[in-house]
Amino acid sequence: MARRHAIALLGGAVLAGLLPGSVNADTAAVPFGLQVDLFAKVADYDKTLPGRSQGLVRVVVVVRSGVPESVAAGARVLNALSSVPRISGLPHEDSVVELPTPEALADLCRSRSIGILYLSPGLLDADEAIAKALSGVPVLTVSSTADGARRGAALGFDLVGGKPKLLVNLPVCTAQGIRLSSDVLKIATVIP
Amino acid sequence: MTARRLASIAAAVAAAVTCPEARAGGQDLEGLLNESVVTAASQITETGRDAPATSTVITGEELRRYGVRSLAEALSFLALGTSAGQPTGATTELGARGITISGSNWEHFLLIVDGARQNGVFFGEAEFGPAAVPIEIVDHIEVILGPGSVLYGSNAMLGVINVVTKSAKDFGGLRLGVESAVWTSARPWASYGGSLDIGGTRAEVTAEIEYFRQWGPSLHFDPVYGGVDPATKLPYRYTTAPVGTGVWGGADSSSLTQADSPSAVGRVRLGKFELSFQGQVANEPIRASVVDFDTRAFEVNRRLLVNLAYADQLTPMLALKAHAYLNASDQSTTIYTSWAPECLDVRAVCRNVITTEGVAAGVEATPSFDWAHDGTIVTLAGVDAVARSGRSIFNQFDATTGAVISPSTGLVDHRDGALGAYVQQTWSPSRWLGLNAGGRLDYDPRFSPVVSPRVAARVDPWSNGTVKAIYSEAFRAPSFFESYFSHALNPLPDNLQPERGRSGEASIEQRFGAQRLLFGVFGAQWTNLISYYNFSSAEAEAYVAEGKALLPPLYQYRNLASVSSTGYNAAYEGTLLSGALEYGVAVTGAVARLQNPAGSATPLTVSPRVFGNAHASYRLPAPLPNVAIVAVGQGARPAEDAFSAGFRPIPYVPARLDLQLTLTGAVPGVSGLSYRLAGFWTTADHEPYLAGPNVSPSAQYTSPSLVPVERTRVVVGLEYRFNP
Repeated sequence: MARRHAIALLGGAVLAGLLPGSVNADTAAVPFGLQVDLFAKVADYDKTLPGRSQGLVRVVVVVRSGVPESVAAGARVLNALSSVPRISGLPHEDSVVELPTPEALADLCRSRSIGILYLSPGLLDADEAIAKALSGVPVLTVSSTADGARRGAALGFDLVGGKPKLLVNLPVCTAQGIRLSSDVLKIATVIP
Repeated sequence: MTARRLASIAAAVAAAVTCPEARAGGQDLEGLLNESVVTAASQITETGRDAPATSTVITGEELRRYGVRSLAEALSFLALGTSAGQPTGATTELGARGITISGSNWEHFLLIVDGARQNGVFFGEAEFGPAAVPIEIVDHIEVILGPGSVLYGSNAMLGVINVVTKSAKDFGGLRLGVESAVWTSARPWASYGGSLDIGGTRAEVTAEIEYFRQWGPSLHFDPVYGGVDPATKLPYRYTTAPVGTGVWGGADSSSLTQADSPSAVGRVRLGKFELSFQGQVANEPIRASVVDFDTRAFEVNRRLLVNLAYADQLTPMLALKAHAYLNASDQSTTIYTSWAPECLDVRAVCRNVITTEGVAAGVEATPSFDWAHDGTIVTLAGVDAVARSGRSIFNQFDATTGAVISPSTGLVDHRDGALGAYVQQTWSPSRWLGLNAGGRLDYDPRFSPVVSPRVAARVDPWSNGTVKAIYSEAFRAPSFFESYFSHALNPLPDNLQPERGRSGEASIEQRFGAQRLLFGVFGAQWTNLISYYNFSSAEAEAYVAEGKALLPPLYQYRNLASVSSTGYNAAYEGTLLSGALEYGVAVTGAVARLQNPAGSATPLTVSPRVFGNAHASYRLPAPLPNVAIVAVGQGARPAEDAFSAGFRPIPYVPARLDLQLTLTGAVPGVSGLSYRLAGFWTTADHEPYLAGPNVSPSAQYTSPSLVPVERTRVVVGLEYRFNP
């Protein structure tokens, strides 16, 4: 009987170890290269981006160290960005940062005039706090997932029917001073 | 060439590789949102244009919008490169790129549903007909053309069909629906999708159950004269009447349009685990050349598939996918025949029953290594181990009294194991260049190990243009039925080898805005095709004389023929008006030829040389419906056995055009209720499949009887979604 209990406990422990917590439950469905193409194209329709970029679009990819999916996604996004010559007609400078506190992230965006903030998978639990901290900060936040857009990123991506979908969180866009063209809103899924 | 010139070329190449490429520069947002995403081509999530294959993605929304009721219809209506025929009024056969193997059970396609391989062990078959997968739960279908054994092993000769069901976020709540092809079939279904949080881990459930029943229509079968039964010296009966006329058909029958099938499919996700399941009991008509007219020849297929999968990114470099699977099916086939020697009692009508069972249980692990941590150099490796078993028995009864006519034969009770190991290397030094090379080694105790390689290259030489070149090989292992089933008239095969296929293709794709244009050429060569060899009288007697059999055999499975096919694929598709207007055209031209052992070559029967489809839909403002029209065309096709049965002129079915108009939308004033209304019409009178006994021409009947076609159909459906 003791052996059975031990086996059951061991099995439970293994299962518990394999089951992820909510911090890394979000998985990006749209390939990262296509995500980059999409948000770079959306940025072309962001009427405020040239004005707040001061001639150079700064793109920051936020990852969470210790979450392999997040780190791997960050590297792939950075690699894909290297193939995009210009964003909104401007050169861009790309970097990866490990997730600081939401407030520190907001400070970073303000101090360095970050144009686009890409939130990699694995940040789902922090999305709402990041959105709150970034309220009023003029930055286009892009989540790798649909849930990220629902939880407070200005843009997010979903895969439905084997095709990518673009989600636009309108209140977040408004709060962060992002004005997207109606051409984008017509073909995006708008979160009111 | 001077050193300076060489240096300048090298510099230009280096600059081209390292300089950023404006890949999406000329493509508008709508065009990017039209990009398809596939996973089956290389087991990597990638866009269709990056994949090492020609592919089509059919969305769940398209399935609904165009009135699609089955996987076979989906592939016929909306895919590039596939063509379908209906050997019976309730079953279909599918070909690709000009190759349709008449009489096959779809075993030249590999069908995958939610990661679970569908092809059965005993027959190698896959089910694409009505209710194989309830269509409402399908999120999308990936159609990967060309040999795919490099990652999937046996059966992926014509391609891989990957069906992905919807997740709970897109299939939420409880839904009830019913759809009916007026007066001929009905299909009620229920589905559920939901998610919840369990201790910080997201869990979700999606499932659909469906019951499909078809009872018509009644179709007229042209008469066939079968002649005199040498055993009785009287005309063949072909009916239960004690005295026959030698004539089969000549009247209406619904024996080939009777079917029913309850089925269920679903999956449960918990964190990084996913359990998918599928069950089906399909009662379908079969074609058999020895079946008495207007008697029900049918098979009952029961199928259970369970797949437990795990996927995780273990480190930034290492990802792991693994799954354990069970594929169990059994089948009972019943035919009524008074045709000697299939019925050993010349005075009786025999009920022949073949019962089979096949089980495969295995595990597969696929780690992938992202060496540069950025997706540019990825090695994927995999091992797939499976234990298989198959059993069968063949009994013959007097259809009237139930008495046993002959002892049980066709006894199979076989167990073995098979192993596959594969590796794939991808390298994308720049986004405009992608290389993919791999190979798979399959061990099967019935034949020498098989190697299936693939090499593919993709280049984006200019803005929004993609050029691909692919070479790949595939194989189909003999099914257990082909390897082990035998009876008095059908001796065991000697040293049956797997079918082999190789294919080369090149394509060019150009995107402009939300439009996509594709053109490709291909060439395929298949060898070792397995089919029945018909013994001549002298050969049969010699077979007995050599002590190999007690009775003169009629037929035996052998590696007989070769098939070659060369041709082109072309497709144009796009959207306008912010996606409200969607359209596409796909055309394939192919010259496929069958080379028999004697060395002569003929066009491949039932395969069209030119075929394709066109579709368009427009989303009218609510409450007006979506309007969608699809047209499917096929050129003239030689009938089954056209070149061997001796009929003159060679029997062909003429070119055909099928049209279907579908309206979909919400029922005004009833929240949650939606409708689908479809009307189908075809120019065709007959399919290119033989009906009744496969006889030679006579003075009385100079052309074969072909399976008739239901020319019109109206389908009406309603679905109610609770708490929309």
